[in-house]
Amino acid sequence: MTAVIERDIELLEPQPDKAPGFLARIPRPSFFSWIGIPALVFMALVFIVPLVVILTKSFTDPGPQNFSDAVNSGIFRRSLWTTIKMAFFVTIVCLLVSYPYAYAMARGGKLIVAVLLGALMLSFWTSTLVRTYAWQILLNNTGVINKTLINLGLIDEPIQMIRTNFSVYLGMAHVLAPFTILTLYAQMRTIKPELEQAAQVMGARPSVAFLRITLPLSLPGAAAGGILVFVMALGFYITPQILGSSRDTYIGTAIIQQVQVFLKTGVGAAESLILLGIVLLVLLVAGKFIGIGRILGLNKGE
Amino acid sequence: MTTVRDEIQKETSTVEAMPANETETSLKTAGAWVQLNDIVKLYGSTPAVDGVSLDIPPGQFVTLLGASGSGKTTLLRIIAGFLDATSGQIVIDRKEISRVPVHKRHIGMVFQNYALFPHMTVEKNVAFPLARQKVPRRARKEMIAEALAAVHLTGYENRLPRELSGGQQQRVALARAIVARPRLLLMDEPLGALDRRLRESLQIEIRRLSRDLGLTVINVTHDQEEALTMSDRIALLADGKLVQYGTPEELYSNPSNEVAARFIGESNIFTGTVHGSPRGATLSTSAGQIILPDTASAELNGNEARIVVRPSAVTVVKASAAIDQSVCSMPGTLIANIFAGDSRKVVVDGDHGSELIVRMDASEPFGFEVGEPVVLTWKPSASLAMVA
Repeated sequence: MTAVIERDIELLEPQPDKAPGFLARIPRPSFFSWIGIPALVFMALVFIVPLVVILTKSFTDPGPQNFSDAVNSGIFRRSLWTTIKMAFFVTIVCLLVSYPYAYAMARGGKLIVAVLLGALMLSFWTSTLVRTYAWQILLNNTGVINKTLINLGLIDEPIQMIRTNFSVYLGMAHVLAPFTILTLYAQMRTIKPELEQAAQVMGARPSVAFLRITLPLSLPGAAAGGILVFVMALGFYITPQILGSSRDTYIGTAIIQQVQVFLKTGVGAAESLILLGIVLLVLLVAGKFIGIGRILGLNKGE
Repeated sequence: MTTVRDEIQKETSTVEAMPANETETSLKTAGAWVQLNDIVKLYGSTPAVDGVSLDIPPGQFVTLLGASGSGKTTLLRIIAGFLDATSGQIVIDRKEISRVPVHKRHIGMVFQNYALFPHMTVEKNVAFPLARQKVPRRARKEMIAEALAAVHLTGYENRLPRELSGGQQQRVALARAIVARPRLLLMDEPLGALDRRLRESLQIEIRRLSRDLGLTVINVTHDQEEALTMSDRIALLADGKLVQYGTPEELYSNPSNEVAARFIGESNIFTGTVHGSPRGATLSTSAGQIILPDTASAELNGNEARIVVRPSAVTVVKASAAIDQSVCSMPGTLIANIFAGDSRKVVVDGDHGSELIVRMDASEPFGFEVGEPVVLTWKPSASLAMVA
């Protein structure tokens, strides 16, 4: 029997590299990977070509000073800070809302899971614009919430909710929470319920079992979902535009202004590239720690 | 019931009186006395466990044996506290624990897929129950070392579970289950995921460990060989009901009914009506007359009954051989001759439609051809009669 175990250990040890030639190390595409070619062509046309156009514009229309113009623009610098702050808070709200939701989906009975998943899908299938306007209808000074409170006699004057940070964070979190829910759910699905049961049998109260076992094992999913939402929130335009205050300019708005108001397409292009750079930087740093595949939901979280 | 319990207790005392085993360890505990009284678990109106009562004396290794859907795992989960029984009591050391939450039951458990915490090292895994049960930090180190030594995993403290083989993970799970010195250890198909050789060596090891530690073990399995090898007693379950509770020998040599006979070991079973006096009574079956064993109860007379004959009790003879009238015989055609290493399995197509199995010593010469007409014979005393 010891022989069996020793053999098992041997299998676990990394096999020494046979050091093949450089060319041999490039995997030959299998037959099936050719299926990806149309998608690749499509992506090249609709993504890489415009990117190249923007890149060219930012350096040539009228010249590389676009970047210094962008960085020196007070509006843009303020918008960077406003946007990053917004993305940060939205991420926090998303995670707080999504965690119990995803946990219930991973552990709940059939009925609960069906209801939660249904609500999630409905939210996914509804246009962001519609959902944002729905919040406007709710939060307006003459909106559903204020009217109800006034009619109930709880307040005399409408509470200012629309065009504040509060409404932006709320609306953004609503639009983006499905992404954190799904990444967290994917992670929690890999945590076997027996682990919590085992912890309980060993004397852990359910709350301790959760804190010691479930929470640490779900953190990679939370990190992945958080990064995904943070990055998406950075580039969001519609929702902050509709729900936010005109005094707070977000990156998207700042870029549009350059293009449409100041008619400086080149500066707008430079600002877009700076935004893209920030996103790539965040992904790069996050990818170092939790793996890019996990953030994009490509691999099973284990 | 009382007689059974008395008998069990008598036997337990002899078990306890056995000399101490080779392993001297402070992990030793007195096993818990577990009584299950009329446990019922309903899902809707379907019973998963249907009125099971079991008395498990301290220090016994009891296996809940049954096919999938027999209720064995449900019963184990009720004892652990993951499920609430619809009715019935779980009494451990004379204390009713049905309302005690899982984390206060102080039970050790080995899960089917080990349920090791993947983000903790072996040491942290084994330390987990100690930390939860407020064992002083100073004492933990030694207890962990002792538990790991008991499963021969000293030196693996800083490995992560995924760096271990299946058998090693199983041992860590075992160490973790016994480290806090529970008096009752539950095991849910603990060896199911391992290959046969590893399974067999771990069966022996787990048995040795449980004997050395003196704890009571309730093990769930669908593997009758595992049940026979490891258990002091087997509780055979089918359709949520307790079919038979007894030592492996009892279940094998004296199955209480057809279900037990079919589940434990191979069986040739004949059904028919009993005729004649208790002495020399016969069973009329579609396959002919079969002589009942002398031990058959007189109550069977005139009733439907079954006769169980173990394959190892049957002999194959040439169709032309003269047959003693005092033995049972059954003509047929030899349809398969399977060499299985230590034994030879012979399948015979009975002339009356039934398929019969014979087990014989593989080292003995076998002078028959497949397709040859043969006669199977066995002594009536080697068979077992029961109410149909």
